Amino acid sequence: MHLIHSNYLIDKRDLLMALLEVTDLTTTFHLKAGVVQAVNGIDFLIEEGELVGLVGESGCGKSVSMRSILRIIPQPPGKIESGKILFKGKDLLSLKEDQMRNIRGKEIAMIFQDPMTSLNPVLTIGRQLTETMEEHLQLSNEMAKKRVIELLDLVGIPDPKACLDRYPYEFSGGMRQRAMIAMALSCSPSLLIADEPTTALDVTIQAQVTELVKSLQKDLGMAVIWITHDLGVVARLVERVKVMYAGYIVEKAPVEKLYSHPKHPYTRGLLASLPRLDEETSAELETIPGQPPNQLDLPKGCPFAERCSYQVEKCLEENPMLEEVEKDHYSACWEKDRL
Amino acid sequence: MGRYILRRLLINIPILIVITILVFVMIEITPGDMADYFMSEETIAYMTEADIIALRERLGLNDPPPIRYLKWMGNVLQGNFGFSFVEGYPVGELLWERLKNSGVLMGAGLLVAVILGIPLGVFTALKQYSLADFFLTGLSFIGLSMPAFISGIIGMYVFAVRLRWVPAGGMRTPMVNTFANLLHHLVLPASILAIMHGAQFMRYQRFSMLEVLNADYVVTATAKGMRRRIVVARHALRNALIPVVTMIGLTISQFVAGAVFIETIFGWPGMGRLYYRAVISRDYPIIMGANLVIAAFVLFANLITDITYALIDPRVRYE
Amino acid sequence: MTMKTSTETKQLTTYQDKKIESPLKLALRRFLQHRLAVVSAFVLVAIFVLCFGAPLFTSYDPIGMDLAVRNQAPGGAYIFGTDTLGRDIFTRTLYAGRISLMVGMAAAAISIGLGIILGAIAGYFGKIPDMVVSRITDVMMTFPPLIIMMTVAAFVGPGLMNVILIIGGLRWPATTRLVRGQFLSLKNYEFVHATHALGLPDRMIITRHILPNTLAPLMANITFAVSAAILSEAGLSFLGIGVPLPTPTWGNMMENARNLIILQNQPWIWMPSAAFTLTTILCINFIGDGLRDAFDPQQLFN
Repeated sequence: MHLIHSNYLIDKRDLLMALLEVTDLTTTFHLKAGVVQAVNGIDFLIEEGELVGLVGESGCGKSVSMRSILRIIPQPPGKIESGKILFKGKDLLSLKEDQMRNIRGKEIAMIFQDPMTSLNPVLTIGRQLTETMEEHLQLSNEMAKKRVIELLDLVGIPDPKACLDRYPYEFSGGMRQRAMIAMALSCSPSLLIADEPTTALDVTIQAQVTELVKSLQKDLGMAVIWITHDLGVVARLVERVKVMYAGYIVEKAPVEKLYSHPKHPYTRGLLASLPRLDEETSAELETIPGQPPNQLDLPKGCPFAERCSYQVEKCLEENPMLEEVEKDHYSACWEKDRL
Repeated sequence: MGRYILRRLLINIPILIVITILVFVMIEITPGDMADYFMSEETIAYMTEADIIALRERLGLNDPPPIRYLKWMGNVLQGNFGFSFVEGYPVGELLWERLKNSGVLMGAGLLVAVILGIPLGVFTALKQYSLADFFLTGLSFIGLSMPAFISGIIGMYVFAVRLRWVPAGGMRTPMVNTFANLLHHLVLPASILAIMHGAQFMRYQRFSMLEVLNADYVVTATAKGMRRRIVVARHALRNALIPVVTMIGLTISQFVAGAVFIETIFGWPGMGRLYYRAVISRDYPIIMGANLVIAAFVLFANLITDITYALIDPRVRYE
Repeated sequence: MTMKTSTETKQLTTYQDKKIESPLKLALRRFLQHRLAVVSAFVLVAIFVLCFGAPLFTSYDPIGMDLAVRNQAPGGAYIFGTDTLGRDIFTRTLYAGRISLMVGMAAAAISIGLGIILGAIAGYFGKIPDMVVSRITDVMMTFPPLIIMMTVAAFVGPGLMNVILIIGGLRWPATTRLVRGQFLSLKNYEFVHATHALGLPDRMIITRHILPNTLAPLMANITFAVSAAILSEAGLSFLGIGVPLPTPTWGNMMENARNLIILQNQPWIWMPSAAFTLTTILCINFIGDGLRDAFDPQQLFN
């Protein structure tokens, strides 16, 4: 009975074809100073319509891995060394540039960290939104404009009709990010990659934008990958979390499990450094000692070993693989059972 | 937009006045004046003291300097720039005639420089580190270090004297008044005038384009799945042109300097050569008038630059 | 992961060593990586040696004429030929180089000096001094400098000293703008506030504390000022209102080419000075380019 049950579960996962399946993705940057190993053979699955968090500090490869999926890293110096990116069964890395273009913006859309610089300063908001739909949906300019007004209304921009002819500098940061979201949604993508979309915004605006994306995700049924360095944001937003460190995914788990029982010392450190309202306020916040390793020259063992209080000899010798600790909970740590 | 232009226009008027005053003061403090022109060693023997006073009176040289300046200014405002005894023509007529000729030369030079410089700058930026980029950027460096008087004599020697492709000077063959003939005379001096600035525009455009190609909004446009052609032309180029337009505007004054050499070398009857001759022969009415016209020309070019700038960059219009 | 080989370790250490290099050493090392700039520096030194050591390379008189050997084509006793007055072109070109380079450097020194003083005053004191200096700079940068130089040169008359003063006195606005900008931003730094707190006199704050910090961006500007000054002299002399004959300069030797007969039949008279001028300018500009890259903090990683 028990056996059948688990088999059934595996079958169910296979039947539900993943929206995005990334295997062994490796991206490097070839600079004069050497080769930066930005993303080092990461694997993950994104299901249709789910909200996933990708967490890590700046420079850990979260942004680069997502840009690799869209193939928008500058090449050279960037290079996707290996890997397979299956999106709806198509391997994105083997597509021709023209075919890939039909994925970008249409199937997979992306919003960026800084709405101040991500919108073109010399084109009107209307133009920047209509061009996407004219390109992908072959809409006439008239039709596209109508749809832009609907979209701007949907993301909560007041007086959307007047906004068509406005330029980005006439908008506040929060409004610009809303316009960016409207732009991303314009072709009804099945996957939205949000690259720290609230980092550059004021705290009050951050919550508004987060809520907006969450409600739109529910209404439109698209999958969202939310990149952030802030575990606090992720907690109330996503279903599953992947934690990246030095170009590796070091832990992935459903959000409750990750918070209640982190199985990687790095995740543990990140959580300990979050301010909590439910504990006595006098408790000092913990920090993780040391610096992330130089990605020009990664250590041969676990990249976190030098900063890790659970370090054993093996950690310096061999880099642990991501392994399942319990159902749906993976960790890349030799000492994961001690945690 | 109208107010913007008007404001720019008003800013320029004091500059014009300051420049004419400076030139006037300079003429005042150097020994000698216009009367000297009529008093060569031969004529002075026949002139009495009274003759000289009468002459100075007739030329208006006995008034105190500020009065003379104001009189000159008043005449200029009525369109009267005075008379050049050296050239034997009214200054206004002469300046207008030469300004048109210089305009043809500089306009053609600017056109060639822009047509070559901007696309090559975009091309080399898109093909950064390629062999073509390396070659063209190197070539532009040589062009940039090539002053008009050296490229002028070399160009004249190679294309007019040795190869005989083009005439060695002048603006038209006498008695032939066709556009083709003008073009034939124009092509070499205009190209030479364009070398240095074309190279400059190219380098600047390349630099600006490289910077813009890394901008976030270009990444956004690419991530939206826009065609490369549209990303480059609509998103990158328009932004990259903003600093280049400013730079082109600032170069106009250097075009005038280049034109002095080119016009002198090629015998082109323009402002540059007229001014050079006026300076050599101390033809004061022309020096005063030409300075005013050159300054007005440069400021007008700056105004056109500002307007173009505002057309490309919406943020400027807003301020 | 991968085995760390010894070369990789070495690369890592040199990479980290860079961080503790002094800024000047770092700039020098980056300058030396700029191959064209280094080659240019060598060529420029060679030109200087040739010109200032002219008596070592030629025994002819640059000024005395020998009408018996007028208009000789290159070859034989006169490797670059002779001019219309029978003077050896090679000799004249070298001696001309002395004058052209000297005028260029002296004029550049004056314009840089003026530029630094005016820029420092405008940037440091702000308010009225800044307004006055900035307006004058604006007007001068609007107006073609050659026109002003021609006018002044024609009025004060030709002469070596006059040319130096005219070029030096009219070429400063670019330097002024640069220095003013530097001072404007630097005067708001903590270390400058600290000097105020210590009660140091303005003169000392300007010369000891702020000025040294503007030197890096100034380096390239200085080299370009020299090449601009050399070109200005050549241009004025080419028009016959610069350094007067018989003193040879590259500019007044090229003036010969304005005569169509010489341009056509005796190219050896003007070609060497044109070649020397071009090479010199090209070398100085390459060096300036190398210096700009070497001192540019943004270029560290690319």
